[in-house]
Amino acid sequence: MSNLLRAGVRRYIRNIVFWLALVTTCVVAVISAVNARESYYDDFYCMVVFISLAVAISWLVGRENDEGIFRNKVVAGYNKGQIYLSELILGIGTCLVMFLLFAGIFTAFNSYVFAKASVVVCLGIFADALLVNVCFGVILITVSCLVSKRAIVAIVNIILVLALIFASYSVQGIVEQDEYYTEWDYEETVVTDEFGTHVSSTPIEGSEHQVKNPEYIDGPVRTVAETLYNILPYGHITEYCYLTNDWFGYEYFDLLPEENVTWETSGKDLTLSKEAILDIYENLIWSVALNVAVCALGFICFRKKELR
Amino acid sequence: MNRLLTGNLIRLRKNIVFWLSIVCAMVGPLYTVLNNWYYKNLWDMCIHADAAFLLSGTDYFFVIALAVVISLFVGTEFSDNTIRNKLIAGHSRASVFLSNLMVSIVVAIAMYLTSAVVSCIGMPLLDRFELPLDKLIMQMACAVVSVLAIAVFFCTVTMAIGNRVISVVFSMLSVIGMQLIPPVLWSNVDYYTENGLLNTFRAKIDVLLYDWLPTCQMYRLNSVVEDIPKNIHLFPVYSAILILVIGTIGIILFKKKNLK
Repeated sequence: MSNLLRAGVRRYIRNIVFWLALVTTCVVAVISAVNARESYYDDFYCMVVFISLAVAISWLVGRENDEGIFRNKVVAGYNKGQIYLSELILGIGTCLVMFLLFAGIFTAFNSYVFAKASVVVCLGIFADALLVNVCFGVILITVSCLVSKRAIVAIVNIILVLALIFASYSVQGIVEQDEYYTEWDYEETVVTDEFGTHVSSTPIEGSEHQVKNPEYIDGPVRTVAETLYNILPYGHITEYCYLTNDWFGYEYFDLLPEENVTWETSGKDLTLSKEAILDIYENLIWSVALNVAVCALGFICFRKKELR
Repeated sequence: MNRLLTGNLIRLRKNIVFWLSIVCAMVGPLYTVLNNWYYKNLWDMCIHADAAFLLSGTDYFFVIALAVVISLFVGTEFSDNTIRNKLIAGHSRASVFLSNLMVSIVVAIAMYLTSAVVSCIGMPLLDRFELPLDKLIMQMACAVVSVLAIAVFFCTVTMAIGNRVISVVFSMLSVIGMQLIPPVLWSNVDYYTENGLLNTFRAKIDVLLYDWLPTCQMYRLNSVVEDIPKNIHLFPVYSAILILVIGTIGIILFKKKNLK
């Protein structure tokens, strides 16, 4: 097992795609950190990092499978479990290196947050973000070990990353709907101005009333949607984006801060509600559960796979 | 050339990835129609059938599927050494390149037509067209030429790279990148227009890219009625020029390529 890991580390270090992924992570981290300091944190940059992770893992693990190196390892006396575990450890190592680079650079630019927010909360978000990255890595490695053709592995992994991201956005759009929305009664008046004569509708003061939102779901469908949102790893990232923008008084879909006011200078109180803190801890549990489930599934499927 | 084309078309007909890409071409308009139908019934509002037609060939699924099928189909020629065999059999490099280019164009048109046909489901489910029919057809015709320009780009990239895995990864990354450019350029051009900065150098570059890049054209062609670009009639001209330029570069690169 240690021989497999040692050989794997050498293979990774000598591969240009691995270094390109690290360089991409560094560049994206700098842009993201500066952007967060000047305006707001955009999860788009996480998407770029995940895609570069998908390319690196597809290239490195897919090559082993495509060129029959797995079979050679079995011939050399290693069992399939050891081979899968060694690939998993190497892939998770790559994820960790990429994540720590990103987090380190981001923190260096935005360290002022630690003076404003609770350290426990920051550590909770850090730990969950790390687990989410590992989760993506584990899914990508499992796919790369199970699919034999490198080109197909690359396609499946890149599409999988995009699908997980868009699925998270879609489920978030369903789950985050308010149960009620405010509606006003309108008064119609005939107005004549430079555009001609037309009917103008103005809301009547004091006529606002709560109306049930038809897009709001409840009952078992809500439970399913919320569970799905918790399971999807990228859902955690969009949730933190939401949370951090909420922290600083920004609307998630209307990121227009007051002029010359940034997160750093906004002077907002960064205390989180108990519910929000519980959400972070709940996310941690979901991330661990998903990691264990995907690893176990990959292990079982890889052991049953016929190596060519 | 005829034999090469016939051979490629027969191979295409038997290719499972091509048929999967045809299925992918159905996803975008089908999702749009069903989603619009759901919201139309939920909010009891008027949603026109135009959206799905305008989205034909311009959604993410479509362009990614196009990138995958072309890079895999053409890339297989390299990985299986079929290209070298064709040259040994006496075909010129230009005819090999052109036959692959034509197959890529056939793939793009087949996918686009599938997408447009699926959009017809919206006609009974949604409200009548908001756009006049001639303008709708004009926008769809412009979208076809933009799709062809993208197909030619993917074919050229694959023929120039000569490695199936690298060309698949490069095509997918470039298509994701190309899909991200239009919203950025849109906000830039909007900012320049509002502030009267259209004469600056950077604004000119952004406007040029916004007019010429096929993904930017697609982004603008599937927009709502009031945002129809004023220079829409020039889009097919820009795309045709791009097809010619990219195709010529592709032939030159392929002629100089050392085939292993």
